[in-house]
Amino acid sequence: MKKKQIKESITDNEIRQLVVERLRGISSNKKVSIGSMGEFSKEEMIHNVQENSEIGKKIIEIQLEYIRALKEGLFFNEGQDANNPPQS
Amino acid sequence: MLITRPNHDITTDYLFFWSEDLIKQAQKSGIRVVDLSKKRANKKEFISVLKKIGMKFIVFNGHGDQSTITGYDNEPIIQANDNENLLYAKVVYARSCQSAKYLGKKSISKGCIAYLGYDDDFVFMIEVDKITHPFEDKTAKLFLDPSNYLVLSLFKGHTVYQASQRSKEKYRKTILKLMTSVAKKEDKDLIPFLARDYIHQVCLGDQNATI
Repeated sequence: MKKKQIKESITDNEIRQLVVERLRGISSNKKVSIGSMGEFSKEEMIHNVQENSEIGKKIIEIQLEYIRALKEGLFFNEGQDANNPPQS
Repeated sequence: MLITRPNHDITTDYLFFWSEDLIKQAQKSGIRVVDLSKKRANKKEFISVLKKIGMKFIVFNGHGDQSTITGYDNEPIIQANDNENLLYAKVVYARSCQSAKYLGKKSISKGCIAYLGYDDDFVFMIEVDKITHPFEDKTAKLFLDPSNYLVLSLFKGHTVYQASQRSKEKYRKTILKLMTSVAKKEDKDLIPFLARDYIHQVCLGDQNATI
Protein backbone atom coordinates (compact mmCIF):
# COMPACT_ATOMS: atom_id res chain seq x y z
CA MET A 1 0.00 0.00 0.00
CA LYS A 2 1.43 3.34 -0.96
CA LYS A 3 2.05 5.61 1.94
CA LYS A 4 0.71 9.06 1.42
CA GLN A 5 3.43 11.62 2.01
CA ILE A 6 2.10 14.67 3.70
CA LYS A 7 3.75 17.91 2.78
CA GLU A 8 4.55 19.49 6.14
CA SER A 9 6.27 22.65 5.15
CA ILE A 10 5.73 25.42 2.68
CA THR A 11 8.52 26.16 0.26
CA ASP A 12 10.16 29.55 -0.22
CA ASN A 13 8.68 29.69 -3.69
CA GLU A 14 5.20 29.12 -2.32
CA ILE A 15 5.74 31.87 0.22
CA ARG A 16 6.77 34.24 -2.56
CA GLN A 17 3.67 33.30 -4.52
CA LEU A 18 1.50 33.89 -1.47
CA VAL A 19 3.02 37.31 -0.89
CA VAL A 20 2.68 38.26 -4.56
CA GLU A 21 -1.02 37.41 -4.45
CA ARG A 22 -1.41 39.52 -1.31
CA LEU A 23 0.36 42.43 -2.99
CA ARG A 24 -1.80 42.28 -6.12
CA GLY A 25 -4.71 43.76 -4.19
CA ILE A 26 -2.88 47.00 -3.47
CA SER A 27 -4.15 50.00 -5.41
CA SER A 28 -1.92 51.12 -8.28
CA ASN A 29 -2.28 54.66 -6.94
CA LYS A 30 -0.31 53.78 -3.81
CA LYS A 31 3.33 53.33 -2.91
CA VAL A 32 4.97 51.98 0.21
CA SER A 33 7.83 53.89 1.82
CA ILE A 34 10.31 51.47 3.35
CA GLY A 35 12.82 53.67 5.11
CA SER A 36 15.93 54.55 3.15
CA MET A 37 15.20 51.76 0.67
CA GLY A 38 12.77 54.08 -1.06
CA GLU A 39 9.14 54.09 -2.17
CA PHE A 40 7.68 51.18 -4.09
CA SER A 41 4.57 50.66 -6.17
CA LYS A 42 2.62 47.43 -6.23
CA GLU A 43 4.35 46.38 -9.45
CA GLU A 44 7.79 47.19 -8.07
CA MET A 45 7.12 45.25 -4.87
CA ILE A 46 5.86 42.23 -6.82
CA HIS A 47 8.92 42.33 -9.07
CA ASN A 48 11.27 42.54 -6.08
CA VAL A 49 9.54 39.64 -4.33
CA GLN A 50 9.73 37.50 -7.47
CA GLU A 51 13.41 38.39 -7.87
CA ASN A 52 14.06 37.66 -4.18
CA SER A 53 15.96 40.94 -3.84
CA GLU A 54 16.76 42.55 -0.48
CA ILE A 55 13.63 44.64 -0.79
CA GLY A 56 11.65 41.59 -1.80
CA LYS A 57 12.87 39.73 1.29
CA LYS A 58 11.91 42.72 3.44
CA ILE A 59 8.40 42.76 1.97
CA ILE A 60 8.03 39.02 2.55
CA GLU A 61 9.19 39.53 6.13
CA ILE A 62 6.57 42.23 6.66
CA GLN A 63 3.76 40.07 5.28
CA LEU A 64 4.77 36.95 7.23
CA GLU A 65 5.18 38.91 10.43
CA TYR A 66 1.63 40.21 10.00
CA ILE A 67 0.24 36.72 9.39
CA ARG A 68 2.04 35.42 12.50
CA ALA A 69 0.74 38.34 14.58
CA LEU A 70 -2.78 37.66 13.33
CA LYS A 71 -2.49 33.99 14.27
CA GLU A 72 -1.24 34.94 17.75
CA GLY A 73 -4.12 37.36 18.25
CA LEU A 74 -1.77 40.27 18.80
CA PHE A 75 -4.22 42.86 17.57
CA PHE A 76 -7.09 41.60 19.66
CA ASN A 77 -5.39 41.92 23.02
CA GLU A 78 -5.78 45.17 24.92
CA GLY A 79 -2.21 44.50 25.96
CA GLN A 80 -0.42 45.83 28.93
CA ASP A 81 -1.73 48.38 31.36
CA ALA A 82 -1.63 51.56 29.33
CA ASN A 83 -0.70 53.67 32.32
CA ASN A 84 1.86 51.63 34.19
CA PRO A 85 4.90 49.91 32.78
CA PRO A 86 5.44 46.25 33.62
CA GLN A 87 7.39 45.69 36.82
CA SER A 88 10.92 44.48 36.12
CA MET B 1 11.54 70.54 21.68
CA LEU B 2 14.38 70.24 19.20
CA ILE B 3 13.11 68.72 15.98
CA THR B 4 14.93 67.77 12.81
CA ARG B 5 12.95 67.86 9.57
CA PRO B 6 14.95 67.07 6.45
CA ASN B 7 12.97 67.00 3.21
CA HIS B 8 15.31 65.69 0.54
CA ASP B 9 13.16 62.83 -0.76
CA ILE B 10 9.54 61.69 -0.74
CA THR B 11 9.74 59.91 2.62
CA THR B 12 11.42 62.76 4.47
CA ASP B 13 9.13 65.26 2.74
CA TYR B 14 6.13 63.47 4.20
CA LEU B 15 7.68 63.51 7.67
CA PHE B 16 8.54 67.19 7.14
CA PHE B 17 4.92 68.12 6.47
CA TRP B 18 3.37 65.80 9.03
CA SER B 19 5.66 67.17 11.74
CA GLU B 20 4.26 70.65 11.28
CA ASP B 21 1.35 69.75 13.49
CA LEU B 22 3.78 68.74 16.24
CA ILE B 23 5.40 72.15 16.06
CA LYS B 24 2.05 73.95 16.21
CA GLN B 25 0.86 71.87 19.15
CA ALA B 26 4.15 72.34 21.00
CA GLN B 27 3.87 76.10 20.63
CA LYS B 28 0.24 75.99 21.80
CA SER B 29 1.42 74.08 24.86
CA GLY B 30 3.98 76.76 25.60
CA ILE B 31 6.88 74.50 24.66
CA ARG B 32 9.83 76.25 23.05
CA VAL B 33 10.63 74.80 19.65
CA VAL B 34 13.86 74.81 17.69
CA ASP B 35 13.10 73.58 14.20
CA LEU B 36 16.08 72.29 12.20
CA SER B 37 14.24 71.97 8.93
CA LYS B 38 15.36 71.22 5.40
CA LYS B 39 19.12 71.75 4.98
CA ARG B 40 19.43 72.86 8.60
CA ALA B 41 18.83 69.23 9.63
CA ASN B 42 22.57 68.58 9.77
CA LYS B 43 25.10 67.52 12.38
CA LYS B 44 26.81 70.89 12.73
CA GLU B 45 23.58 72.80 13.42
CA PHE B 46 22.29 70.05 15.70
CA ILE B 47 25.40 70.12 17.89
CA SER B 48 25.41 73.90 17.88
CA VAL B 49 21.83 74.06 19.15
CA LEU B 50 22.48 71.45 21.84
CA LYS B 51 25.46 73.40 23.11
CA LYS B 52 23.71 76.77 23.14
CA ILE B 53 20.22 75.71 24.30
CA GLY B 54 19.63 72.89 26.73
CA MET B 55 16.75 71.10 25.02
CA LYS B 56 15.53 68.02 26.92
CA PHE B 57 13.16 66.64 24.27
CA ILE B 58 14.41 65.78 20.79
CA VAL B 59 12.39 64.54 17.80
CA PHE B 60 14.39 63.14 14.92
CA ASN B 61 12.83 62.73 11.50
CA GLY B 62 14.96 61.12 8.83
CA HIS B 63 16.41 57.91 7.59
CA GLY B 64 18.60 55.69 9.67
CA ASP B 65 19.85 52.26 10.46
CA GLN B 66 20.60 50.31 13.61
CA SER B 67 23.44 52.62 14.52
CA THR B 68 22.57 55.91 12.89
CA ILE B 69 20.11 58.75 12.67
CA THR B 70 20.53 60.90 9.59
CA GLY B 71 19.47 64.35 8.47
CA TYR B 72 19.38 66.22 5.18
CA ASP B 73 20.79 64.19 2.28
CA ASN B 74 21.26 61.32 4.71
CA GLU B 75 24.16 62.96 6.51
CA PRO B 76 24.65 61.15 9.83
CA ILE B 77 23.70 63.28 12.83
CA ILE B 78 23.99 60.71 15.64
CA GLN B 79 26.05 57.56 15.32
CA ALA B 80 26.55 54.81 17.84
CA ASN B 81 30.06 54.58 19.27
CA ASP B 82 30.70 58.10 18.02
CA ASN B 83 28.47 60.75 19.53
CA GLU B 84 25.50 59.06 21.19
CA ASN B 85 26.66 60.80 24.35
CA LEU B 86 25.03 63.93 22.90
CA LEU B 87 21.73 62.34 23.91
CA TYR B 88 22.73 62.35 27.60
CA ALA B 89 19.85 63.48 29.81
CA LYS B 90 17.51 63.73 26.82
CA VAL B 91 14.18 62.19 25.96
CA VAL B 92 14.29 61.17 22.31
CA TYR B 93 11.71 60.15 19.74
CA ALA B 94 13.37 58.97 16.56
CA ARG B 95 11.35 58.37 13.42
CA SER B 96 14.42 56.78 11.87
CA CYS B 97 14.38 53.20 10.72
CA GLN B 98 15.87 50.63 13.07
CA SER B 99 17.72 53.15 15.24
CA ALA B 100 16.18 51.84 18.45
CA LYS B 101 17.75 48.44 17.82
CA TYR B 102 21.31 49.43 18.66
CA LEU B 103 21.76 53.22 18.80
CA GLY B 104 18.80 53.55 21.15
CA LYS B 105 20.18 51.00 23.59
CA LYS B 106 23.68 52.47 23.39
CA SER B 107 22.28 55.93 24.06
CA ILE B 108 20.50 54.68 27.17
CA SER B 109 23.73 53.13 28.39
CA LYS B 110 25.36 56.52 27.93
CA GLY B 111 22.75 58.35 29.97
CA CYS B 112 19.92 59.12 27.58
CA ILE B 113 16.82 59.22 29.79
CA ALA B 114 14.43 57.56 27.34
CA TYR B 115 14.57 56.61 23.69
CA LEU B 116 11.37 56.01 21.77
CA GLY B 117 11.64 54.76 18.25
CA TYR B 118 11.54 51.75 15.99
CA ASP B 119 13.74 48.66 16.11
CA ASP B 120 13.03 47.90 12.47
CA ASP B 121 12.02 49.88 9.41
CA PHE B 122 9.45 52.61 9.88
CA VAL B 123 7.11 52.11 6.93
CA PHE B 124 4.10 53.95 5.60
CA MET B 125 1.94 54.02 2.54
CA ILE B 126 1.27 57.06 0.37
CA GLU B 127 -1.10 58.04 -2.41
CA VAL B 128 0.88 58.82 -5.54
CA ASP B 129 -1.37 61.72 -6.56
CA LYS B 130 -0.87 63.38 -3.16
CA ILE B 131 2.94 63.44 -3.23
CA THR B 132 2.95 67.19 -3.77
CA HIS B 133 0.31 67.65 -1.04
CA PRO B 134 1.37 65.23 1.70
CA PHE B 135 -0.99 66.71 4.25
CA GLU B 136 -3.98 65.74 2.11
CA ASP B 137 -2.86 62.13 1.93
CA LYS B 138 -5.50 60.14 3.84
CA THR B 139 -3.55 56.90 3.47
CA ALA B 140 -0.38 58.34 4.94
CA LYS B 141 -2.50 59.82 7.73
CA LEU B 142 -3.37 56.33 8.92
CA PHE B 143 0.34 55.75 9.62
CA LEU B 144 1.52 59.19 10.66
CA ASP B 145 -1.34 60.10 13.00
CA PRO B 146 -0.54 57.28 15.47
CA SER B 147 3.15 58.17 15.21
CA ASN B 148 2.45 61.85 15.89
CA TYR B 149 0.14 60.89 18.73
CA LEU B 150 3.13 59.67 20.72
CA VAL B 151 4.57 63.19 20.75
CA LEU B 152 1.21 64.84 21.42
CA SER B 153 0.78 62.56 24.43
CA LEU B 154 4.13 63.70 25.77
CA PHE B 155 3.00 67.32 25.40
CA LYS B 156 0.03 66.46 27.62
CA GLY B 157 2.39 65.35 30.36
CA HIS B 158 2.14 61.60 29.94
CA THR B 159 5.17 59.47 30.67
CA VAL B 160 7.14 57.99 27.78
CA TYR B 161 5.59 54.61 28.54
CA GLN B 162 2.06 56.00 28.51
CA ALA B 163 2.73 57.95 25.32
CA SER B 164 4.12 54.86 23.60
CA GLN B 165 1.18 52.75 24.72
CA ARG B 166 -1.30 55.37 23.54
CA SER B 167 0.42 55.56 20.18
CA LYS B 168 0.42 51.77 19.85
CA GLU B 169 -3.24 51.67 20.81
CA LYS B 170 -3.99 54.09 17.96
CA TYR B 171 -2.20 51.79 15.55
CA ARG B 172 -4.05 48.77 16.94
CA LYS B 173 -7.46 50.41 16.68
CA THR B 174 -6.74 51.53 13.13
CA ILE B 175 -5.75 47.97 12.22
CA LEU B 176 -8.91 46.54 13.77
CA LYS B 177 -11.08 49.11 11.99
CA LEU B 178 -9.50 48.22 8.65
CA MET B 179 -10.17 44.53 9.31
CA THR B 180 -13.92 45.08 9.43
CA SER B 181 -16.22 44.61 6.45
CA VAL B 182 -16.90 48.35 6.46
CA ALA B 183 -13.34 49.14 5.35
CA LYS B 184 -12.56 49.29 1.64
CA LYS B 185 -10.67 46.32 0.19
CA GLU B 186 -7.80 48.58 -0.91
CA ASP B 187 -7.40 49.84 2.65
CA LYS B 188 -7.18 46.31 4.02
CA ASP B 189 -3.99 45.82 2.01
CA LEU B 190 -2.14 48.37 4.07
CA ILE B 191 -2.73 46.49 7.33
CA PRO B 192 0.54 44.48 7.24
CA PHE B 193 2.50 47.72 6.88
CA LEU B 194 0.64 49.37 9.74
CA ALA B 195 1.28 46.24 11.78
CA ARG B 196 4.99 46.66 11.13
CA ASP B 197 5.08 50.04 12.84
CA TYR B 198 2.79 48.83 15.65
CA ILE B 199 4.97 45.83 16.42
CA HIS B 200 8.34 47.57 16.15
CA GLN B 201 7.71 50.78 18.05
CA VAL B 202 9.65 50.53 21.32
CA CYS B 203 10.21 52.57 24.44
CA LEU B 204 13.66 52.24 26.03
CA GLY B 205 15.06 53.67 29.24
CA ASP B 206 13.18 55.27 32.13
CA GLN B 207 9.56 54.36 31.48
CA ASN B 208 8.33 57.02 33.87
CA ALA B 209 10.19 59.86 32.21
CA THR B 210 8.32 62.90 31.00
CA ILE B 211 9.39 65.88 28.94
